[in-house]
Amino acid sequence: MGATPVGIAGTGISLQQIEGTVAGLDKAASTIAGVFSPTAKIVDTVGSAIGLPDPIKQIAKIAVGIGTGDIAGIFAGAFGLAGDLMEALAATQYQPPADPAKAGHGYAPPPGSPAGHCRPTPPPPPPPCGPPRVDPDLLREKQALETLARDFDAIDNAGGLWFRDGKFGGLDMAAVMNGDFPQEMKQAVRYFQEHPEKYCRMDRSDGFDGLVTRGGLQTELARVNAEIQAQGGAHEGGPVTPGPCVPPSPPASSLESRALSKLGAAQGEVDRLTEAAMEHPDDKQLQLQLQKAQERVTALFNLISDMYKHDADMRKHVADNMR
Amino acid sequence: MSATAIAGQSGRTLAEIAGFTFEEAKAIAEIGCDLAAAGRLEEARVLFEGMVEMNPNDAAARAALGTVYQKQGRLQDALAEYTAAIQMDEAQPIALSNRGELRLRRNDRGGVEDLVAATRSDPNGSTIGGRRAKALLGAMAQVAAARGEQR
Repeated sequence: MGATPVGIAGTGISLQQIEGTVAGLDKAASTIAGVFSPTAKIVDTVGSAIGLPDPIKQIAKIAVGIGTGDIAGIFAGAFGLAGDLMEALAATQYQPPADPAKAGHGYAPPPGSPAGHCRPTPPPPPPPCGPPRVDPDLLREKQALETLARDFDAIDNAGGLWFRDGKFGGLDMAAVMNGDFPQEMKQAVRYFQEHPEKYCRMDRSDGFDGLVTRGGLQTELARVNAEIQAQGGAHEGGPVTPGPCVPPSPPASSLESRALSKLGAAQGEVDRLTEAAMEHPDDKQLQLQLQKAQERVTALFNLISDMYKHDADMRKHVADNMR
Repeated sequence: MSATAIAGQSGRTLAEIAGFTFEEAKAIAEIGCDLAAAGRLEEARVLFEGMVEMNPNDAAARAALGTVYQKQGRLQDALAEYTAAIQMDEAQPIALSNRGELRLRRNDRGGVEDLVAATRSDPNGSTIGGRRAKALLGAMAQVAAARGEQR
């Protein structure tokens, strides 16, 4: 690393350039030696860090020593010299420590593994065998959809609003999971918490707003029933309701973009409410609103994370299957 | 009581309480980096602020948030995030290199030390920050030498 026969790695500066600059200073260096400013120590450290050869390091030390100590000027000059060759200013990178224990500090341990240990790689799905069967997950989705459709009013009202608005969302689902509701209902809710992409599919009937209408739910149920029938007809319910043609899934980036936009709006709401709550610390209603808004940010955050995680898992399975 | 307040009182982060794992954090951070690279800074800001809210101990997230603030011109906020990141992880190359530059722009010699520390913490140049710090130090050494020659 550092100085090479062609110069200082990454700087675009050739060794010849540096040596050329330095050559005329050789004499001066010997006469001014010992006249070092505090900056000289910094330059010495710099030289070691970037691997400057010793003679050049010496000259640089002296050069800065006799300089004005105008570090900002040197910095500006450096930009004039190499600014165009350098990578972007303040490029955003997420660089956690290499030590996994340090990197994961403050995060929950992966499910099914002790804290601080990596989650074992899930085994690849078994190879398909025998005659084609209906995807069992499709049957579970159908069951969850039917439960939600049957108990729609209950889940609509679970989030604590005073009236039913004909929609349910993440807060209602969380209320079902934490409240005194039938096990079957909790299982249905859990299914959609574990499959956020399917939740999003129900949600999109009236635009993506994080809320599911009865119509959106019925449309999705019709689609699932049709798919089950196409796979072998294992569904045992009544006749399949011919629903409107469901458009293909929108590109992931579009969905994610909208989810991110929602997250941005929710975060803005939290900021606004936090300021208001600080001005009116005794306002209980404001505190409650703030809490709800924070929960919504967390829910959206988890939703987006799950979407990407699911997408990554899918890609991994596809890659495994292609090997 | 807010979730943040509950987390604060329990001594656990929101991420721990909500079961948010490091792997999930990395996936989110990747999106944030992509957004920032695409110039969608407001969305990137929201994501990284959310990450810091979930886990204030994540030095890498704080450094990434600092870069977004810096590009938005919020230099004080950027410096604060970089400093917080370095306090948690003194070898955080992104925070060190960017704080170094910001300090140098303010004629603060300590910026050189930050750049040196960034170069040392990333000797192989695996981060943009580490490579930039190294390039900048090389150019500074040459400018310093040239100034000496002029005198």
